[in-house]
Amino acid sequence: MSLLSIDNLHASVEDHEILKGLSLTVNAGEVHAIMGPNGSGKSTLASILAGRDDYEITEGTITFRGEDVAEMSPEERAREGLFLAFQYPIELPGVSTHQFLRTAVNAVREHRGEAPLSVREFLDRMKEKAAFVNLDPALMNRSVNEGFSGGEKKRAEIFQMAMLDPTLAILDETDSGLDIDALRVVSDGINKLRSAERSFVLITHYQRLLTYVQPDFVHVLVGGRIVRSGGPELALELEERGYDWLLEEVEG
Amino acid sequence: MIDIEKAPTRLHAALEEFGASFQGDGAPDPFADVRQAARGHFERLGIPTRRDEAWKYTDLRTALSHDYTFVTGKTGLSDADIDAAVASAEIDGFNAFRLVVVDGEVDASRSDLAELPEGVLAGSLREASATGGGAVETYFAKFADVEKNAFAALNTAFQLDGLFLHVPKNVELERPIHVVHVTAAAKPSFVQTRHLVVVEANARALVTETFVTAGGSEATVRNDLTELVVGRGAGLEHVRIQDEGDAANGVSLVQVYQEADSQASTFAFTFASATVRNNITMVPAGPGCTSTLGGLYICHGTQHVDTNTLVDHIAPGCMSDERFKGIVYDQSVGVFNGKVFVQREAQQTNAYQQSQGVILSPDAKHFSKPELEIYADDVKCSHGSTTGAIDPEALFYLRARGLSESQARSLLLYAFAHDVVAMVSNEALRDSLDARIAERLT
Repeated sequence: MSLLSIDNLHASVEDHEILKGLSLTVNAGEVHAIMGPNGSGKSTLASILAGRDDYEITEGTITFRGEDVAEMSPEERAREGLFLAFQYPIELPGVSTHQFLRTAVNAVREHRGEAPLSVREFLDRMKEKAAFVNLDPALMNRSVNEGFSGGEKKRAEIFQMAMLDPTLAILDETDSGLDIDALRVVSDGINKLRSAERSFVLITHYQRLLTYVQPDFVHVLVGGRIVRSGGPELALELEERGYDWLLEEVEG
Repeated sequence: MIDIEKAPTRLHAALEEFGASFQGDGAPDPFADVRQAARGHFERLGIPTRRDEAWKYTDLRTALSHDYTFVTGKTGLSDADIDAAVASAEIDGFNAFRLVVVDGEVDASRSDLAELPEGVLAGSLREASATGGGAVETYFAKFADVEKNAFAALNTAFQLDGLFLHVPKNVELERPIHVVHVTAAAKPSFVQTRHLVVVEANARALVTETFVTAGGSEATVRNDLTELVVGRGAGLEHVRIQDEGDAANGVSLVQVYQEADSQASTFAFTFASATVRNNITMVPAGPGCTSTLGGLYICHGTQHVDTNTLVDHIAPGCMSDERFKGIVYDQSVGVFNGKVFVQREAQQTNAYQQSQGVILSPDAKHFSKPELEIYADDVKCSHGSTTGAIDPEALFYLRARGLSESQARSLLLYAFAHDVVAMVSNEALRDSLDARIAERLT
């Protein structure tokens, strides 16, 4: 059974149809890249998978670990092992990263039937995972993302992902706004988390992330549908030729 | 009983009765002229109504419509009930001197004022004024505006009891003073207290007041007046914690007068109450003062909390920092009206004001009205006022990480509320406030 199965998904926001029959299957351990021009529906897909409620699924199904995702709240999805790294991670003044993550990690653990982490265990794990992405552990005592640079916010998202240990991670333009050094750090973090049990969906506009994180499959999203799928070579082709030739093929 | 519109004569009779209860024991009658004048002002002003601009959002009629008795000391309370109420106000690790005030009268037997540093006076204001002289003579009833504020006039009209604290020059009071107010609420009661705190030049003190109810559930009205005098270079922090239950109404005035280079802060935390109006006036009267005022109200049911502040910058080079936050559930109402005056002489004033309300139900309301009047030209003043729901993006972010909706909401509200708690200097007090906040956020 596949981990994630999206079948003929149609979705709208404020009666404006954005996804128009998207289908995608992700199996355990696979890394899928979804590329596409601006406005093709990439971030909409990420938001719908995570359960943002501004979107309406008008047709089609999303099945995650055999369950219909449409029936699940955002927190149920997260506890089942779905993680969304936000394109624009939000700042939460006054909410300490430490306190928030401990609540989150223990909510996920409880759902899995695991005992909550003790303070000691939690701190040890935080230290270990922060090192994954070169994040200063002192930032954990600060408010979530508050005053973080763009790069720190993206690294903090990967750090949170490592803490929550998801089975499916959706990374929404995690590479955007990163300089080359930060991109390398974030990519290293992702690579360290790759495993036979964990799958990734990398949503990106550019190919450059994919030179550091080698995908198994590359899909091109145009006009709310996947118009082409292939291996890593497809990303290189897009980098060389842009999206226009595909748009012409689709429209023509 | 004291609805002046409906039954002015009953009010008058009640005041007579109340006044008489202080007399006849042969005690001296200090400040008789002050009280008589105040009485006159009250009779002239009457109870404010919503026609008064300053009372636009707060209608006291329901709160005042019960058949109240003016109480002047413990009435019909068992010792066990009082003890339990005092214990409930305890703050873990606070290590404070304690003054217990039961139904408006200082209860020396339950107070703990032993081992005060040399020269520090702390105790009953009524006793201190009977003795006469000293700081009471110098400062009593010198600051609150009884000509315009009816409740201040009503309070000043009687020989009320409460805390008198005098910290002499250069003395740092290391342990806080904790005033525990206990209201019986065994019958509808009108309770008044009055405090005078004088912290002389370069002295320091922390005064906390906690308001609790012992057992009873009848409607009560309080009218509390606190005058805080902060000498040159001195520091005073004052924290009020209102938590008397949903039948407790109240009007209060905290009047702060600061001499040059002093630091004063006053905070109001309102948890369980009925209709409450908190007035805070700060007057940094000499150059170089820092004035901090803050508050938090978390309202449920039909609770109504109205905060009215005034910072009157009359001297140059002072700074004021004001932050009030409200969280309103159900059909509750929060009101904030903050005035900052910067007079012509008050150049280089730095005044900052912020008010924020979070509305958690379609039937709850929050009104926020900042007012800045600036007559000086070299000043930095800013104010911010926001009222709204919890940010849905923030909620979604937390839920997408596995927190339940209620966990996410609590975490965000707690952070919002803690922002005010963080302004309080004492850690034990902060912990106690945080714990109570967590309970109030559902």
